[in-house]
Order: sequence, then structure tokens, then C-alpha cells
Amino acid sequence: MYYIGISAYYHESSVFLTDNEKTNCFLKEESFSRIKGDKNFPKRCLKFLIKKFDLKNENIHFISFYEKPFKSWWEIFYYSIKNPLKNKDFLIHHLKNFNNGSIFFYTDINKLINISRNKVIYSSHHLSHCLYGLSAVKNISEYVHITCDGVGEGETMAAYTIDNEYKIKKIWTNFYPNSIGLFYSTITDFLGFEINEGESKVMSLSSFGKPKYENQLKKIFNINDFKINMDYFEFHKNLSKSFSKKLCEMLGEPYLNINEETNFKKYADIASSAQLILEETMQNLIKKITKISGKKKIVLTGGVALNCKMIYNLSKLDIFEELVVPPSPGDSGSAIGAANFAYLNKNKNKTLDLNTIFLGPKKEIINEKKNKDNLFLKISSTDSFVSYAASKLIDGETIASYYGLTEVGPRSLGNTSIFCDAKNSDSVNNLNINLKKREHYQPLAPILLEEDFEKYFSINKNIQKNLEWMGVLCDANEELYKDYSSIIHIDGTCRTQIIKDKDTITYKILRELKKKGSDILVNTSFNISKDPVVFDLFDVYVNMKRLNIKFILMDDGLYQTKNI
Amino acid sequence: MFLIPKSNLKNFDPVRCCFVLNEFATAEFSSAVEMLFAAKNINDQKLSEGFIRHALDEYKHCTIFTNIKNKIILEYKINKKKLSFVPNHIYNKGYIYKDHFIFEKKKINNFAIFIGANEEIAEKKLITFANYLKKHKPFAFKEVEKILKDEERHAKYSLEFAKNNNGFLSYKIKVIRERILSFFRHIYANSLNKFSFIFNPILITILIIINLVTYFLNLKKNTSDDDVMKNIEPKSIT
Repeated sequence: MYYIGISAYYHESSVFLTDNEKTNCFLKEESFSRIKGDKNFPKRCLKFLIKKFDLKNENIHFISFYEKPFKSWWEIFYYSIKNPLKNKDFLIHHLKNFNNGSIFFYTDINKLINISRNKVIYSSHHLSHCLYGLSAVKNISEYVHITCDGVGEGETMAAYTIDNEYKIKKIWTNFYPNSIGLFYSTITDFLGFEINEGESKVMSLSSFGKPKYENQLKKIFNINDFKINMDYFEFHKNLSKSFSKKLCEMLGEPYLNINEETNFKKYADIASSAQLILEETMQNLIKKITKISGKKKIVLTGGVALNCKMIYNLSKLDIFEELVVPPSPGDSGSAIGAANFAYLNKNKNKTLDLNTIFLGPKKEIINEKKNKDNLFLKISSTDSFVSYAASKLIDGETIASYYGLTEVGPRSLGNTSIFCDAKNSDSVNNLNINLKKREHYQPLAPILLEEDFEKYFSINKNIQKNLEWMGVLCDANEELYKDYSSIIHIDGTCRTQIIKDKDTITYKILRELKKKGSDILVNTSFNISKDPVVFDLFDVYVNMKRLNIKFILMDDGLYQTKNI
Repeated sequence: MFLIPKSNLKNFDPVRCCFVLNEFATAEFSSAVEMLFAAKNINDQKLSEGFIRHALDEYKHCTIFTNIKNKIILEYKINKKKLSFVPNHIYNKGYIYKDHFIFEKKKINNFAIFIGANEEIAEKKLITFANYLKKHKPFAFKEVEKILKDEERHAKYSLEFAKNNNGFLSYKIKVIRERILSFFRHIYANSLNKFSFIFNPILITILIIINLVTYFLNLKKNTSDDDVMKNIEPKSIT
């Protein structure tokens, strides 16, 4: 019997299916549609699951949606309706979307699978974030669970405690429009980046600037009581931009060409200031919540938690004993939280036991064997294929990976990645600028064996756990500057991932690489800018051709693409 | 689905040109996604390989259009925010259906006719645009010429396949029908957002009524909850 959690309609849609025994399957709609950030009802994911797991009413406990659809729609509408004429564009859009959104979730589900109405349930937005966070820690009662994102069901921040009997208490909430997430998104928009996509660019950019606009930005977001000054924002009334003229008067012209030196410097300063406001806000939030809850260990979820620079800077303030951000803290990961809600709803004092970060399907579930034979040529199949691949990497080759279980979350953690030797600066630059088409101010992330970590990096113990899924930054040690300077960000940090599991191919390849004189690989997700990460072998083939990558590591060997 | 600047325009309008380049890039990307889906779902290996090649070409075209656009943006210092390619907008612009790919709704012969007929239409539009670029941006014209050759080949292969798998009369009728459908589809797509304002007065009236009702509402918000699982109603959407 399966539990299914679904997150959809607002951010990238995802589905999580589990029986809490052997089967876990996390899927994103974008993997099937090949449209990055696809937020439509995850019809294609569900079709895949129905076919693979023979889903029917009889073998499903619950299908759980990650939030309350009407509440989510209404809370934003309710705020804007106070000024119907001023906010009419936004309201009309919102009204027209009434029947395209999650309110008709049950109808959408029923078009695919004939399921009883009492098996379709609805969690709550921030509760789903919180319940997903449980998967990242043991001894849950020791932690306070903080969620922080743009907005969900009219709430922007929330804090929960959970006892050993799984009694969940919500101890504090902040409400829309007072949202640090929307503040940061608005700055993202102002700087010319796409909201929900460009926030990570703002974070990278912030390291190049100084917080010269700190005082101005503190007037528009109060870091002490978490209140926003709506005179500077228009996300509640304008569909095409989220800031007002007043913000332009304060910060200058928006959407300037960032490639020009003067603009770059100015925008880096604005990004740096926004980053500081975010960090100080979160610092105050954590202080407040640890005081209310009496707990010093924190699980942080919600889209804001994806800001790994913030986590890094907070770790230095000695305001918590431990802070854990699970691999997919945003709305996409809430599908797992929704499934956990279903499980808890059924079992009352038990939650899902998810002891891995790789919750996606195995590659053999996704693909038919004939496709591998048709599209790829095995060039090394003996036990030495890992060693052969390591040699290629040392020679400056860029190699893709496609093995094991698929990752959850926005970061590829080795199983669907592109690697190059971090010692080879030409390879690193080629991968970053030419292949991945990333901006010059966005650094690539290193991956290395756990035992080598301390040789090259330093990190506060209180956030160390997040290293397994590339969730935090750490400081580069002197040793790293000697041979691996091309992976160090301008502020001396790296978004490092450590590998512990000795059975994985990623571990084995790092071992072989070490024997050949290099300890660190660059690890970036296997996709092209504006495209989702590869999902099946067809995507692998097409992306290898587009990126001009010659070799791919799979579970059973090193492969090349065939010429078709 | 979009308007192409006429080649006899006297002055070069960089913003308009970038807008059209962005639309072409979006259309090519959408076509690539459709082809990739077809490649994954057809049982014939040779056809699957053909669809993969087609998808690769379309992705390449998308990159070419985007590169030209970026060069013009840099040269004329245009505000690029509204000219950026956002994958999710493909749905709103009507390039791809939200709930299905075209391949899911058509048999392979009809799908080939669909591709062939639409590639021909795209080619004609692109020729007009290429002439416009030839006059004002020769570097871009050379790049677009490469795309034109590919489009011509795609149309030819698709229609040849369709011709071989349909009777002569059936083939002709289907091609004409596809051209007519395509014409109306473009009209529909162009008018999608243009006429929606007709309903605005009704919607504004509804908004004012809701505003009056909410004026009397006193919705309380709880900042805390002692037992969340006990107090939540799982079957409720509110």
C-alpha cells in the first residue's frame, strides 16, 4: 500500500510515492516535460507511477496534497482585495486562475486514477515543509523546526516543536506580506534575474560587493519584527514586476546590464546588502525561536533555506548547537512532507523512515535496456572502468555520470552530474563558462572523500551534517589554494560536498583519482542552463551531444555516445 | 504565433528584433521538446533516431537565435529583462499544450504531416525575417541561413515520410487541412490575451462585491497551535 505526496501549481511540481518499506520514488514533472520549473499538475509523473507501480484505489492509502488549496488562494487574494481598483491587474489574474489552480486538485487526480474522495487529503504548507525536515534528523524532539519561504497559505515563517509521540505544536507564525523570502525575490527581480531562478545568482553576486545599501534596505524590511514596508513593493498588485517606483528612487535604475563594470559593482553592492538583511533577519528569527522553544538544535526548511551562504554565516554566530537543512527544502521537497503527513495521519505516532537522500527512482526503473544499447557504446566494462574514467579526468576530460538512485533537490550529488578534475583550471573554466553557460561570478562546487575534507576545508561543527548534500559553504584552507584555486569563490568559500558511502561509484572514482594525484572533483548538475537535469537515457544522449561530452559513467561501465 | 518584422522596414528596431529572436528561440525550444518526446515514445528505432536528430537541430537553433539576440542586446544596451527566455512561459505563450504533447494525440503519419506543414510555414516566416536581418545585421543573416537549410530538410523528410505512408489524395488533403489548422491556431494564439479584457468589467464588478463582503469579515489568524495534527482537517481544502 502506497502513500503519495504531491506538490504542484506554484513552483516546480513533484510527486513522492512510498510504501515505507522498500519503495521510494520522488519525481519532478520537469523531468518528463523537459520544461525547467514546470509547475503544472504533475500528470506525467503520475502516469509514470501508475504504470510502474500499478496504482489503483485499492493499493493507495492516501494521496496527500502539500497545502490547503483554497486557503492558499484566498490568503493572497484577501490581502489584495482591500484595494480592488489599485490591485485590479493582480486580482483579475488571480480570479481567472481560480479554476486552473490547486482548488480542483481532486478533479485533476481523478482524471488519471479513479480514487475515493476520502483518500485524497490536504496537509498544510508550512507543516509539509516541517514534516519533510524530519527525514534529515534523528531524535526529532531535540529540534525546533523553522520554516521560511515566500508565502504559503498566508504564512511566511513558522516554527514547530515535535515530541516523541509526534505531537506537533506550532509555536510561532509570521504572516503575508511580511516575508523575507519575497523581499529577497524582489531584489532578485530588481537586479534583472528571474524570480525562483535567480536567487542563487544574487547570493553568488553578493560576495563581490559591500553592503553599502544596508541602511536603506533596513527601512524596507525590519529585521527585528520581520515587517515589510509595502511602499517599496508591488508583488501584491503587479504581475510583471514586484518592486515599486519608490525602490527605484532608493536604489537607482533596475534591470541594468550587469556585464558592464560600473553596473556590476553597483548590483553586487545591492546583492550584498540584501544578503546581509536576510542573514540578520534569520539571526533574529533563530534567536527568537530558540528562546520560545528552549531548543538549540534547528531544522530549517522552506525556499529561504536554500541560501547556503546564509547558513554558513549564521554558523559563525554561536546562536545554535546544530542547524540542518535537508536536501530539498523548497516546495518541491514538500511532496515528501505531504506523504509524511499522510503517513502520520494514518499511523498517528509514526512517521516515514527515510534514511537516504537519494529518494528518486533507480535508473533501471526509468529506462529500457534496449535504449542503452541503441544509443551508447560501452568502452570499458571490466572492474577497471572507474580507474579508466579517473585517468580520463586527470587528462582534462569532462565526464558525466548517470548511475544509482536519482537525487532529491536542486543539486546533483554525484549520480546525475558532470565531473572534471578540480586541479585542472582549464577544465574547470571550460565546464563553467563554455559548457554550462553559467555567469562568471557563479562558482562550481567541489566534491571529495570525507577523509580528505579537513585537509582542504574548515567548517563549524554545527552545520557539518549538511555537507553530505552540498547544503552549506565552508572555508577554503591554505592547502586548497595551492592546487585548486579555480574552485574557490571570491570570498574564500566553497559549496563542498563530501562522500561517505564506500559502495557508490562516486566514492570509487574519487579513490582512483586520489591514487592518480588529485583529491577533488568539480561536481555540477547534468543539464544545460534553462534545462532540467537529465532523467532518462534519451536526455543523457541529447545533453551529451549538446554539451559535447564524450564519456558517461553508468552503473556497469564507461560509455560513449553512438553516432546515430 | 507572433508577428515578423517586415524586411522593407527602413530603420532597424533592435528591441523589436530581439523580441522576434526570442520568440523564434522559444518556438525552436518547444519543437525540440516535442521531438524528444516523440523519440522516447515511438517503437521504431530508426524513426526514434530521426526524432533525436531533429531535436538536436532545434536545440541548436534555439542557441543560435539566443546568441544573436544577446549580441544585439549588448550592442544596443537594451534592457534584457523582458527579452529573457523563461522555459515556463512556453505554456502561457501557447507553444506547448499544458496537458499533452502533440505526438500523444496524433498517429505517426499525421504527426509527420504536422511537422512537415509547420516546418514549411516556419521556414517562410524565417525567410522574411532573414531578409530583414540581411539588410541590417549581416552577421546574423549568415547564422539564420544555416537554420533555414535545416528547416528545409526537416520539412522535406517529414513530408516525404508522410507521402510514402499515405495515399496521394489523402496526403494532399491532410497537408491542406494542417495548413488551415495551423493558420487558425496562430490566430487563436495571437488573440489569446488580446480579447480577454472584454471580461474585465464583469470581473471588476465581482471584485468590488467581494471587497464589500470582506469588509465585514473579521478573519482571525492564530500564531500558535497546541496540537497541529489534531486541529487540522485533512479532507478540507480550507
